[in-house]
Amino acid sequence: MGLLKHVLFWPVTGPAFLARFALETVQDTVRTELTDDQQIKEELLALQMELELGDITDAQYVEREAALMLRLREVREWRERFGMGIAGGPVRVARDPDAEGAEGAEGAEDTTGEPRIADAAGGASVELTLDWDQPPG
Amino acid sequence: MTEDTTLRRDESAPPVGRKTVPVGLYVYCIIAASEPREFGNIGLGEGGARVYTVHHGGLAAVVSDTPLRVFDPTRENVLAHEFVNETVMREFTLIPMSFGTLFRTQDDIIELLKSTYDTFAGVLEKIRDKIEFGLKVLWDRERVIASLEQHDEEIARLREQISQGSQDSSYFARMQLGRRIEAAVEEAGNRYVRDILEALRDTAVASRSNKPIGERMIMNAAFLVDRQQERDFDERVKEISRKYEGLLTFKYTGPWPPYNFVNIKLKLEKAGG
Repeated sequence: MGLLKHVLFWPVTGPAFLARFALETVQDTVRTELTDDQQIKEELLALQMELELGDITDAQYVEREAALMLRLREVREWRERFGMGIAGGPVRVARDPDAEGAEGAEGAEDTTGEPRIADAAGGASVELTLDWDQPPG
Repeated sequence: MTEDTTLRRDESAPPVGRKTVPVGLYVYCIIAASEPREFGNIGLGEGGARVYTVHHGGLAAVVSDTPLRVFDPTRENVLAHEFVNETVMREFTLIPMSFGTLFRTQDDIIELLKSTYDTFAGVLEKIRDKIEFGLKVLWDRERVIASLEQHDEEIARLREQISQGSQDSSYFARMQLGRRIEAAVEEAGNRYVRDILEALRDTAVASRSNKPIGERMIMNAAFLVDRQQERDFDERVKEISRKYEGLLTFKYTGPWPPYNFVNIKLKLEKAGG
């Protein structure tokens, strides 16, 4: 019924509905881009390789690494803003009996520079892969 | 610059009027050990933090005290993290923790060891005395092409045609040659990789083929090797690199902790509660 209603009452709800739909799609795309650090990580690996192969000097490395770190920090900030997990950073496991939802737990808006503390009360799992990886091709 | 560094090193005089960042524990790895251990002042952070163990039962986390913050994966930081693990692995089998993982308090670490005790113990048993080696293989495309031209009949024939033919026929021959070389180069790359993996296969327990980095790399693999087979593996790597001398460059590193084979995944709950 939902979509049909929008089609039937097109002049009334249609364009607004479509606009909202499009906006959400755009937001999703932007959000994905803002919060994806895969590209930066690959660039970092490539940069390290260049240094290792002697293609760049130490000074060049340091300069480009600093630029990548800035980008990583930006991604991290966006991820925190969107309430997504980040790689690394503080973790708590034990429950605080007294301080329920205390410092840091409110998250995003605190400006003290302290990172939010992720909750790993579920403990951890360990992935172990002991097989022989098939090469591509 | 210099003055700033000296100031920060002076721990007896904490900055006044500024909120100090709370201290947490950086975790490097999990080992099986019931007695407290010290690994020296080699931890992350300026001057090297003291690296020690936090225990629960027969398991321990290797840690150092650090400000509770997110660490950037700079080369300096990553090398410090790796250096601690390399030091620990001289005496212990270890499960490496991902770079940058901090815990709020010792209790949090003990809670982790408690809740994941059997898993950690089981994995440590499975990877006992196994070490990782890295093998990156790079090629010099021009050299590979030159070597292919000597052996590939079609390439030789096309070359011949180009040197003798008219303008028109040589244009098509050139296009064909380009395509043939492209295909031959790719084939050769796959063949080299298969050959190298095959040569190492029975001296390693497992292997991971990671995505090659950059244009010149054709192989970016990690191997898990039993310490008893370390010498054999080493020998094989040397043999195969001799076989491809002048054509391929081998970057052989290790021993490492099993970074590519074991992965601790913290079960994170949505924060903000």
